[in-house]
Amino acid sequence: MHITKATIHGFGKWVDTTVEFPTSGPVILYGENESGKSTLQAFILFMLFGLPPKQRNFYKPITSGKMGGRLTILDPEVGRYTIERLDNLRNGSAVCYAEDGAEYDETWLKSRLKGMTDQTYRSIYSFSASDLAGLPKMKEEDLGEVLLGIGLTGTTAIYALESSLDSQISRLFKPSGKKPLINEQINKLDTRLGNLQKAKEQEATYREKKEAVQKYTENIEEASRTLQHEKAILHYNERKLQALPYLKKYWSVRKQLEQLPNELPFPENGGERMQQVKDKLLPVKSEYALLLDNRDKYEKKLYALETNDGDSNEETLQEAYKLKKEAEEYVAEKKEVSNISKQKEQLEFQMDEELNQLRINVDKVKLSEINLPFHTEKTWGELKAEQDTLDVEQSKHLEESHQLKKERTRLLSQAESLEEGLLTENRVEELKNKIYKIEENTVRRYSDTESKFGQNPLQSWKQKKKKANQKLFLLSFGLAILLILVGIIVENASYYLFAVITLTAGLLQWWHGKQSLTEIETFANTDGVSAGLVEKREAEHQLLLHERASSEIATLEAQLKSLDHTFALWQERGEQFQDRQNILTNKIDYERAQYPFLKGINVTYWLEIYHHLKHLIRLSREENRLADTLKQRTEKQDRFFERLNVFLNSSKWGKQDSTQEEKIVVLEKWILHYEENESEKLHYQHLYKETTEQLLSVKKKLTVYEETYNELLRYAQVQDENAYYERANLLSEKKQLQVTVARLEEQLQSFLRDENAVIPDEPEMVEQSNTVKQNIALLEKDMEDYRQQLADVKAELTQLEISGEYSEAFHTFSMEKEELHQSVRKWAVLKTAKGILEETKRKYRDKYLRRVIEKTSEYFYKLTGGDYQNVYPPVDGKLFQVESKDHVRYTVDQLSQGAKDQLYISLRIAISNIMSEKHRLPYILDDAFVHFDPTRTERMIQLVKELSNKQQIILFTCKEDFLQYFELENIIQIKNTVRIK
Amino acid sequence: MKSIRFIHAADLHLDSPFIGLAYAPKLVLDSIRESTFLALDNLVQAAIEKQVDFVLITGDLFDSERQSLKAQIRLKKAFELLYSHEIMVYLSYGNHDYIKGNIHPITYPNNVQIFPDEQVRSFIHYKEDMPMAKIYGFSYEKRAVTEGKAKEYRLSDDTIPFHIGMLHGSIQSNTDHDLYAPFQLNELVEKDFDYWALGHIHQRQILKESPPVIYPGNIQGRNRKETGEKGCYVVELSASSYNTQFLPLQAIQFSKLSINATACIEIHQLEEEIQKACHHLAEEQPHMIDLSIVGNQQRLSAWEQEGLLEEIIDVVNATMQLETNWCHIFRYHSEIDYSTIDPYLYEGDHFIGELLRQTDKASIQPFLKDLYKQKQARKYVEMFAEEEVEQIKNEARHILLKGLMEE
Repeated sequence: MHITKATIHGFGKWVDTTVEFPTSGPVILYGENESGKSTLQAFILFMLFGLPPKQRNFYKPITSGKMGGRLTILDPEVGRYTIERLDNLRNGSAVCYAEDGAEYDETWLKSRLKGMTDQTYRSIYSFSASDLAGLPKMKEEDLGEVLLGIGLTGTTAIYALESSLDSQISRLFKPSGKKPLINEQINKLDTRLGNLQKAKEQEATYREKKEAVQKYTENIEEASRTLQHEKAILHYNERKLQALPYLKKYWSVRKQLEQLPNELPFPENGGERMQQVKDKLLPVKSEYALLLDNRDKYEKKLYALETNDGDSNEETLQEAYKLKKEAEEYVAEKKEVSNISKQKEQLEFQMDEELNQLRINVDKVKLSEINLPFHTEKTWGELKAEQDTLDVEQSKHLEESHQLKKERTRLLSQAESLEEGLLTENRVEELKNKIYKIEENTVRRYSDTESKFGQNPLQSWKQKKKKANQKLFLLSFGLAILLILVGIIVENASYYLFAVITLTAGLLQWWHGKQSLTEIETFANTDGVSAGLVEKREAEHQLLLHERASSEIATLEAQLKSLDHTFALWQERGEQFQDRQNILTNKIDYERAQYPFLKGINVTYWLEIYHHLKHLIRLSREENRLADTLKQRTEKQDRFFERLNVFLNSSKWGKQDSTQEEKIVVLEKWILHYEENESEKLHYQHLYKETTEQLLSVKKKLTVYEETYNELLRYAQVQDENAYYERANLLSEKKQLQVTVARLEEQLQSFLRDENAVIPDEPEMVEQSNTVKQNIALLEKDMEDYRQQLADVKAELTQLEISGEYSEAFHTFSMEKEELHQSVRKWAVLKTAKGILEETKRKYRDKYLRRVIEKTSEYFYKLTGGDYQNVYPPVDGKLFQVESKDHVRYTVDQLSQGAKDQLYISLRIAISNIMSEKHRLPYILDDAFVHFDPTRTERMIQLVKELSNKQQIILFTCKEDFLQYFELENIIQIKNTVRIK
Repeated sequence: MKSIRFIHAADLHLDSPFIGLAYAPKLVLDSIRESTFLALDNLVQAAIEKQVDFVLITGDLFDSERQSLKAQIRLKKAFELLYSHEIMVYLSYGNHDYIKGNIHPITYPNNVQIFPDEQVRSFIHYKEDMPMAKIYGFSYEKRAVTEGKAKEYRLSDDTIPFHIGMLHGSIQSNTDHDLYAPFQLNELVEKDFDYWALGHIHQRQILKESPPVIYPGNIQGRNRKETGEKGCYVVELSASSYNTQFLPLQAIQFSKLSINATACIEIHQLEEEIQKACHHLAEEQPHMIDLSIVGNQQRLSAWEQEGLLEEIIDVVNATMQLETNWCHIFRYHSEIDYSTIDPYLYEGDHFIGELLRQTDKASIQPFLKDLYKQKQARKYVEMFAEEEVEQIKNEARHILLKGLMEE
């Protein structure tokens, strides 16, 4: 890679400058101090590797706003290209323009530089005098390593880094040390862990202690139970001692009881119950005797009453009651009979009166025979009405006949007067002909023209006229039929008349129309010329008059005809009236035959007669009914008295001569006497029955008490009352003993259960109590101990629960562990760095060192003018060695400073040479040989020239002397007069 | 109207230490030790104030492996307080408090119903003597339950209005936690339960809204990854609706704090920035802070190298620990990018190229054997995780590059 041209737009003191580089041989850039050599060098580096903004800022020219430039490079692989960097464009990144016009970016440039960076480039491809300045200061023993480092990287950095890492590492950790941080931390953690374990063990006792609590609690409970038991025994014993006298008494009472018989049958509450029975028995017995006496008394009285009653019995009594009732009825009826006969007389009188007023051929006897059925009234009424109607209609009929006659006379006279004004038939014919002829003459005059059209207006007019005529006729005919129909419906003859008139008028009109048509036709067809218009008009006028008169006559005739028809109808009605009269007369005759009293009485009055008769018949019937009633009552009274007599005669009370009223009084007395006797008898019967019932109930009570008495004796198994009471006393004694035993048993319950009949020994019991007391004292002490232990364990538990010692220890431990971890991490980083560095060194050495040393030997030989021929790299802790031409080996520290410098330069150049095999970058030397003497300088320059065949070498110098060694074309003089003030 | 209200919490991990806390002054350490218990007290207080019907705790109430008697005693006291307010507790044990690992014989009050074994069983919760909810669940008997348990949950007795499943296990998609009692979401949803009270995963998440399937997360953050608010869910179920509300319980909050130090020229300016930010953050409660500093790489790097950063963090911590709502920076790192290296460096034949290639290949274990072979150290020093190994290598490389290239 060769730099051929540098175009600076602005960089430091350089503004708009172009530097052309020679194409072959070394490039010598000569300038005095401060002439801008270093800046130019910086520019080249900037173009190749770029600069961060801050440094770009530093190189911004003061005199120009521009910063940047171009660098043209000849690359053996891709040819010529130009790098351009501008501060204000793309943030200082490069654009490369190839010769073929292609454009590339920074990435492409970097790939061309094959991983070289500013730093690495500086360390390998640039060399200045100051690099050598540090050499003499090195410790002798380090020199080898430094040189080796230089041999590897071109710099002393490896050595410095390694030393720094080593010291840092040893501050952190030493495998066998106490002071370094990690060692210290580990020791501390050991202590922590010990504490932690202790705390953990402490906490692990929690379960133990919990169990201990459980155990102690159980022990206390157990002891407490035993203690209670012992105390109970003691208590029992003491009580038993107290109860001893009562026990003794108990056993003696028991003995007494055993001597008494086991069974003592006696009713419950026996004595009392016996007394009660006796108290109740006595009064019942006395009551019984009293009742027996009474009953006998009542029996005697009843017998006396039975005999007193005699012959009378129930049947006679009933007969007497019946008769008495009938006697009462008789008194009432007697009055009624007289009333009825009075009414009857009145009725008879009234009937006689009314019959006389009526004066018809009917008497009282006949009256009852007359039968007037329900329809008679209606029939007679209808007959009367029919008669009245007929009379009215006949008189109307007669009146109509007068009117008809008058109308006929009027019509006839009218017709006569009209007929006088009529023309004769001949005359009419004559007139018509005359008109026809006149018309035909007129028509003929126009016929030629008119015949062309085939139809003349006259013809069509006639047609129309004919049609109109027919219409008119049909209309009148229809109207006539309508009128007739109306007439039939309304039953009025005058409609028929109008119908006829209408029809006639219609006919006339039709006929007249036809006539006039014929006339016109005739007139139109007549040959010859008319006698003139005046003549024709005259004739037409006469014909018109004639026709008018004849039509009026026709009307009149029609009216006459209808009148005749009306008359005929009138006659028919007259006959109908006659028929109806005959039928009516027959009906009347029939009624008269039925009811002969109607004879001689006009039918008009029949209705009144009917009403009178009806009333009379009702009266006569009433009278007959009254007569019947009267007869029945009288018969009934007679029958009653007959029976009364029979009854009275059968009893001793009867008397033949007494009146009817007296007999009735006797009957009443008999009844009263009988009733009194009966009521007394009933009273005694009742008393007797009551007494008998009482006796029965008292007897029952008596039996019950006696049975109870006997039952009590039987239960006690004794014969008499005395023995009974003796037994009662014995029983009460036994009961008292039993109560005493029970009471004692109750008191001594606990002592009697186990040891039945044995009376305990007192001293033995006292001994026992003392033993128990000792036991209790022992137990109480045990319990106290347990309680104390429990309290202790509980306190320990609480302590454990609240302490959190383990928790705290653990947190501290884990924190310190983390601290250790972080230290270890720091250490690991350093250690890794160191390890990698060593490894890389080894690798690199294996890869390049042999070749570098070969080259170094070659250059060292040349630079020393053959004084030294070989260089040996450090092996196994030995330093660099060089071999002199007489094959003596010297370690590097034995060399003179000058030789050391030369060795250093040889190494640097060797590395760049080896590296150049891949990178082929220009090598920059910046006044590298200022301190060399002319011989060495010459050798050096010789070497430079040699090297420049392989790679571009750019030599910056301020020594004018140097220039003599080079061709003029290779020298670029920097004459920049700009100075920084 | 039939409805129930309850609290759902899980993963209390009472008295478990904070992971990744290297140093803390006693005051802070005491607070931290107390924090899980304070969170538990907050839970109990919330249950009482919200007048819930019951509390569900789905496993990992404490850590059996580090049996802390204190944890269980405090738990018992909490339950006793709930008992005095007639609030039931239904709890199942998880992989950290598995039944067979428990050595302390603590008896909880009668309001605590514990699922006794690995068989899925159920309790019926009565409200005013009416069966109101059926709660299903199981406890870990051993350290691990590896088979899926979802299929064992079977809804029974549908006359009871509400059915709630308690399940301590991982959804199969989650790989952050050990995969215990794995289940898939649809397995739960198809059971037709009204609520799924999950546990085990410390990051709270609502897997499904309807029916609610919820990991409440743990109630107190325990390492730098468990940031933000931690707590429980207050759940209200009624025939037609449900309402879930997150309730923070943590006593100390873990927070990540990022400070931009670009404008800080001097280290004391950075100190002021950090101080200010910490004050602002810890206004309401104590905070554990995972601090990251971004800014000028070189400057940060230099400060770090010179130990200045560590110094000011110590100063800040010392100042902040005196506050009621203290603040403790337990971890800090400057955002220096160690991992991105100019890729062209790798290509060079030069030493650095070789070094980089070597770093990638290198295994760090051989370098560390000095420490690991020491018996005493082995007890405490854990192997580095893969991720950490990578970081260590990155940092080592950074040191090397810096040493070699910046003279």
